[in-house]
Amino acid sequence: MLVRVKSNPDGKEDWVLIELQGDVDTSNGEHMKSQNIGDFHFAKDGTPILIIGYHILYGKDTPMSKPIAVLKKKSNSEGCLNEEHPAEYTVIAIAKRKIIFKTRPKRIVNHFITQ
Amino acid sequence: MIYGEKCTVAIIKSMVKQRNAEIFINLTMEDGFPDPDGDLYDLIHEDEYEVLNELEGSSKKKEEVSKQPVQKNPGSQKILSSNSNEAPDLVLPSQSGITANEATKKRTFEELFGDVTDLLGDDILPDVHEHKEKRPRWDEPEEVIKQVLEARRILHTQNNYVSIHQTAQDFEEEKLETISFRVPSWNFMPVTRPSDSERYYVRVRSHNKFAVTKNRPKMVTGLLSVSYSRLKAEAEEIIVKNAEEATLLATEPDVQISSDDKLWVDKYRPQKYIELLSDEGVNRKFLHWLKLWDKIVFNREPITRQKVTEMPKFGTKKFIKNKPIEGRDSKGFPEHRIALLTGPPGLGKTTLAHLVARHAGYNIVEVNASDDRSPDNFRQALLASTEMKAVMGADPRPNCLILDEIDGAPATSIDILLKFIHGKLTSKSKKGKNKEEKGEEPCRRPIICICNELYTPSLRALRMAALVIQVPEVSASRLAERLGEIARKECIRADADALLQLAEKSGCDVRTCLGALQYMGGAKSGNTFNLVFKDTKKGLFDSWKEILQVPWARNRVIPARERMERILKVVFNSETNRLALGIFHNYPQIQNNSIVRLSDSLQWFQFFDRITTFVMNTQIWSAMPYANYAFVAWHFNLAANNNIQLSYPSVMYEVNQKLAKNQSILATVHRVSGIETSMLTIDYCPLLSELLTPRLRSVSGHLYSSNEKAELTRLVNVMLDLGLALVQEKNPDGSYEYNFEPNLLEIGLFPDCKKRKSLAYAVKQIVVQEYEMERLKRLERMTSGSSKLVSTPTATDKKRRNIEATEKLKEASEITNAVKSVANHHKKLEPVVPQPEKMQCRDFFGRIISNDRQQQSANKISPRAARLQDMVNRNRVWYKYKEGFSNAVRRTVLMRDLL
Repeated sequence: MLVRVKSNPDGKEDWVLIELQGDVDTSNGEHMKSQNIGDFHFAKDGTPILIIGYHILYGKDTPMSKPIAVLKKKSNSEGCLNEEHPAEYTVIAIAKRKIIFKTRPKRIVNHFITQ
Repeated sequence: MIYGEKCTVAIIKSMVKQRNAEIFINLTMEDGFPDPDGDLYDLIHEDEYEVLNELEGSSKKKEEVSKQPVQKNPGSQKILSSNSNEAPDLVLPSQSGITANEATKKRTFEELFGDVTDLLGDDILPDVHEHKEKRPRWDEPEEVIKQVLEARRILHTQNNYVSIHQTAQDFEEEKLETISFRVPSWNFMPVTRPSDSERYYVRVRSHNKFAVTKNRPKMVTGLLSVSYSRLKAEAEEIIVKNAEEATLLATEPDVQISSDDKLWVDKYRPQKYIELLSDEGVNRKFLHWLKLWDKIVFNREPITRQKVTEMPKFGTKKFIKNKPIEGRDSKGFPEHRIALLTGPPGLGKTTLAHLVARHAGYNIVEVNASDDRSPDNFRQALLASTEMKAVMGADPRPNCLILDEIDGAPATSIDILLKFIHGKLTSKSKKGKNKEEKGEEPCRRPIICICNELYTPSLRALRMAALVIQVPEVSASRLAERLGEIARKECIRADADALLQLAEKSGCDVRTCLGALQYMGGAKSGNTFNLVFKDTKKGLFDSWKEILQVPWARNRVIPARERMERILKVVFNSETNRLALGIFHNYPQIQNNSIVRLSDSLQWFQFFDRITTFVMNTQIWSAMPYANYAFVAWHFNLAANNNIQLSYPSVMYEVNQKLAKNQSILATVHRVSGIETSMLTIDYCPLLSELLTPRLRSVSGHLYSSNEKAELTRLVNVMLDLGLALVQEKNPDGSYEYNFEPNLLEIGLFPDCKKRKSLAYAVKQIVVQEYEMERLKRLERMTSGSSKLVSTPTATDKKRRNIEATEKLKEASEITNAVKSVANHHKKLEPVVPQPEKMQCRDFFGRIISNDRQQQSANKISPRAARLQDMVNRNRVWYKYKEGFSNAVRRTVLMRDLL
């Protein structure tokens, strides 16, 4: 079976992967979709900073040894494909760098909790 | 010119030296105290010896040179003496008989000393040379020992020589003026010697003067070395002196002793090497070893002179020329780094070590049993004494470490010592590393160890490494001799036989002898010395045996009077209480048929008890001696003829232990339950064994019938009320068992009574579970019940709580009423239980968290908390960090998801 992968006709975008060591979760079990996860900044020295809830994470910007392609699937149900090709993928973007947050996060609202 | 001057100076110097030597030799001889040993080793006199040695060479060289000129010297005494020897050859007028006589007299005098008689040669310094030749060779120790012994003998008879010597000097003075080579100023008679036709001038004296004052007695006493009159005078003097001594002794020996507070042992401690009592061979061996250190310590290089081959050098230096010195290793260290002096106590080992070390020029550092000898301190002492040196003070000498009584030191310390002498010990500081880099640095100072018992296990390693010097016992006769000397000095009349006996009796223990002499000798106690030995003490068992056994002496029973004295002596100054206890403990074992005697002695026990009680209560100790007579009574009543087996009275100790233990158990229970100890022991404990062992099957708890359940609850409640707990303990055989803690059960039982079978292990486990649960319940109840007292809640709260509390109390009382057999417990229990509320409800920071406050905070939310809540609500997303590495995370993706 053949799966076609084609490049995006609008041109590939350059994305950056964000890797977290941990889980991002909602407090009340809601779906993550269209939720504001947190704020992302770069410090003056270029250190990426991610603030989720009352946690602050310091990351590192590193190139990836193997770039990752971001694909978009087009399934058969959409009807534009024939029988031979049940699914088709389009490369939307390629991520060559990633920002990795692997250190233990720090709390930034300590005084709120204790008082 | 300059060289010439130097030459003359040198000659003058050598002449001066010669003079010095003459004086020196004369001194030693005139003292009658040739101390070759002491002198030879004395480092202080080193210079003189070198002078002597040089003299050896120079005198021979100078022989030829100085022969003629000195002979011309009219004032030379030496020439006179040598020439007078040849008097028989001279053709003399009538007066010459005098000189001849004088010459013979001189000879007899000199014969006394034995080494300067030979004046045949024309040598200027014949006597000096003679003496040198007679010097003992150091490679012949027997010779030296003989010499020292001789010197010692001379030392003893010194007094006589002094007097004789004075007369001899008189003769010499006379002689001085009798003959001359030149024409003298006094009256003379010329004489010519036929052999070399030398002319002499002999003094002429007026006949009557000579005849009366000098001539006659001398002629008469020509056979004696001392004139008769002198001898007589001396004899009289001695008699007077003896008489004086005797009177002095008779009048006040006690005063003499009391005024002198110094121990004789210290007072008559040998001060010089020659005074040492111990065997000369041992002394020498030890001194020889110590001298081997000279190279290392004093860095004295051997002196190389042209005469080395001919002359024996003193000390160890003589060997050094070609061959390596025996007893040293390649680096110049002695083969044995340590000397180990060993021998029975009181022989003067310590004295020997101190004296010899001082003699060899060391500063002594002593470490003995009274010092702390733990490994750390020992190491410190070692390092401090051997690596450092006193720089202050008059004469900074190198240290010599003496480790006295080393057999008592811990084995680890001895290990350290051994490591140290082989340079393997590094100091604990960081310097240690540097040292290692430098290589091993062995000990550079002599160490002397002293011990009584050579074969102590801890000394085994040391024995291998050290030069073991066995100090033998002093011969009894020699000891007696010294004792007699001391007695004479102290003006105590001492029989030689008695002293010998004393010496033998003490096993030739010098210290004991002297002690005995000091304390008994003066006190006119007669012949019976009661010696007190070092480190010996009559044990308790010996004392008991003495009391409980009929003494026998040479197959006859000792008379009662003596027996009584003996017993009193034994009891005197010992622990009377312990003694009495031992007798009381042991007398049943000694089979004694007479019940009358037993009752009598028991009455004496009563008496003893009363006396001691009285003394202890009133502290009137003067009553105490009466108790001693009880021992006499016991001895006569209870003593057995046959050999007895004694045992130590341990019953009292055991009972006391048990009592203390039981009392502590009762005290603990009292603290928890609030029941008085007397009530506990009488009312509770006997019944406890019944109460604590209900009939419960060893099945699971929920299978119990209601009856059993009630029993279980009752048991748990009883335990809680009395503060008993079941504690798991490991038995010696490895199994586990639950025991009551504190073990109140034990108190209620007599040791030999039949015990009611305790609960099975499984049942006890159930009981423990139940117990814990009940305990927690009670705690909770207690907390909530007492919290109302502490907190100040609102009015409504209060009401509600009151109701609640009363309800709970009711509940509790219902339970207790229902299950408890002893209703009183609960009432008494309540006040004494600690209030756990304050203790338990604290958070991490020590703030009290009460239920009220939590409730309050739940009800009224502060604005700040509200804001926080708001923020948390707004940010719904949380981040949960995960430990570890992320690169191990994989997710499986199936093909069908992709299609």
